[in-house]
Amino acid sequence: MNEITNLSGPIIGHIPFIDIVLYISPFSLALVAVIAAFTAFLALSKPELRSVTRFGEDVVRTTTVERKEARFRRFMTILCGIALTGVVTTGDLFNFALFVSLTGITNMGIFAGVKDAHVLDATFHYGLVLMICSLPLFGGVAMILANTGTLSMGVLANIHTNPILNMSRTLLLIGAIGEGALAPFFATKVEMIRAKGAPYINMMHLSSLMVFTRVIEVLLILG
Amino acid sequence: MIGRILNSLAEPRVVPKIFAFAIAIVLVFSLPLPFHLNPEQVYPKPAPQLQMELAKKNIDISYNLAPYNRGGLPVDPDNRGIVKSQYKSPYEGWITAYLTPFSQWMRDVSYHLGTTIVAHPGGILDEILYYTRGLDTILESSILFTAFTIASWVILNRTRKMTGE
Amino acid sequence: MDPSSVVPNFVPQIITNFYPLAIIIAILTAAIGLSGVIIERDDFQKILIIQIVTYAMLIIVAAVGTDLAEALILPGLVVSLAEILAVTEVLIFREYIKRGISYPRLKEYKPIDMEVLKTAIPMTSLLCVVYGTILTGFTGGAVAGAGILIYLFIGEPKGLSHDFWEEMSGVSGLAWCLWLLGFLLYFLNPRLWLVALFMSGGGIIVKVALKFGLLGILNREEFNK
Repeated sequence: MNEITNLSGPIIGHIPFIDIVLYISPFSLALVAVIAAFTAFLALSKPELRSVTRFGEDVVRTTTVERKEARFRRFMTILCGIALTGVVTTGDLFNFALFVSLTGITNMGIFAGVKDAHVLDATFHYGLVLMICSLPLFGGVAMILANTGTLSMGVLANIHTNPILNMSRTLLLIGAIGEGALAPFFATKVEMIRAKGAPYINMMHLSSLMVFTRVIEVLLILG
Repeated sequence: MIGRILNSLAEPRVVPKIFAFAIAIVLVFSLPLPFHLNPEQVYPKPAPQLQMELAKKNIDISYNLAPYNRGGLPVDPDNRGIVKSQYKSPYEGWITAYLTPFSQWMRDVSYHLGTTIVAHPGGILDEILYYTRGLDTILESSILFTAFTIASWVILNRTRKMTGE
Repeated sequence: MDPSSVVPNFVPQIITNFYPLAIIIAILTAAIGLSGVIIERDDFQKILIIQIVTYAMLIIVAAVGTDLAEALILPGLVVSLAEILAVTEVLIFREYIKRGISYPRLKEYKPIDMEVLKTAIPMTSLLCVVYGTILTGFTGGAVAGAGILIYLFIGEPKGLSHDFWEEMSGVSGLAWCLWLLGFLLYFLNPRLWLVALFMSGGGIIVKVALKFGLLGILNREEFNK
């Protein structure tokens, strides 16, 4: 466990589900606090009223999100918060991959019902990326399992790295970047967050931030 | 030049393509790596046909459950099935031998039906999926449920309305 | 006989020997699928081609060849299935939006007039439902759901309103909760396994069967109006 304690401080507690052991360290505790606060803030706030002005007209129109859609998005936002909590606390690689997948699909759910062709187009392409992501995430995890014989991060922290582990780590990194819609694959996120209904779509930013932070920690633990 | 590249990246349509390209690059460049399987795995599986061979020599082990036979009696602390898990738990190996009465009947009447998916809602896979790695199964069904929610919400509230419901 | 000779302590030689070959095949499969994603222009075709990429993932997982790998295949498969469900729905909605609010005209077709299609349907679906109930669990739910699906698709039921099925989807959600509860009960205290088994078995059969039925009714209302 020395690599984990080096990175994130002394481990405060374990939540054992037999083979899958979630652990809480000061680092993950801080992340969980941020996620919980942000999710509560988003879930309690009301959807925005967006004003639209048009050229050639002398009116300002206010558009709203209909109530049903707002409720659906709020549900997806809360689910995304739960998934992110799992992402930052889990101590098992396969479990980590599953939590990241859940984050991705809830992100897609927030945007699935937006009545806007551009946003839907971006959402669809984000969904395609999510589907491809199952290869780098689960494939990378399975390669690590084949190479080391375990999935538990506590055991993996003591294993020295080798070229195949490095390659699996690269795959994991690409998978997490794709799920969070980060650096070279950012275009879908940029188009998606043009949707109206402001508070809920901000969950996307938080999820990319948290997934990226956590995947870097996981890669350092493996290395 | 850089501006042109960045501009072409900013289109949602190309994102899956460059993503696929990145993965393909990593995979193809890793082809010459010496892939090998570490023999020290958790939950090892017997070699193909090994349990059949053993069963032919010895009457004690029934080969109607051939590759999935792990021994033990259901929910019996003294007679556990063989499970090599990551972290030991006091209740492991309790359900590797569990079969519903219907499955028991299917196991008894034939050589092959005992291990098919129609007849076998117990055994080592259930021990892993529902007990030692149970959180994975919860998550997996949550993902499925989320996808169902998204799909049925879009159908019920969007496409049906648009088609004049 | 000593049971430890049945299950080895290490992975047997034959699986270790096959591993590099399996990985190379998986990488080639992935390369084919990914190049398909890069080349293909049609959006719907892309969804289908991505399945090849998923197969590559399944090969990599299966190559490990332990019981754990066999158990891990199921979550991987389900995740890709779930995503295909959601993504196709988004695609359909996008196409509706792009083409404006127009009713999608499907081609008219005439079903073949066969006696069997009228008489055998109730019996077949009843058999499926009964067999699924005996099986219980996920498989049982799938079989029972297939029975309901057959009835809804071919049997032309009358008197089942849209509201009824919306309520049914609510029941299905509750059944899912029951399944989870039973599951957690087994987790926390395996001594109560019988109660947990009944809760989760009963919950999941209702859930899966109703989901199938819901899909059937949605499809029927969508296209056969």
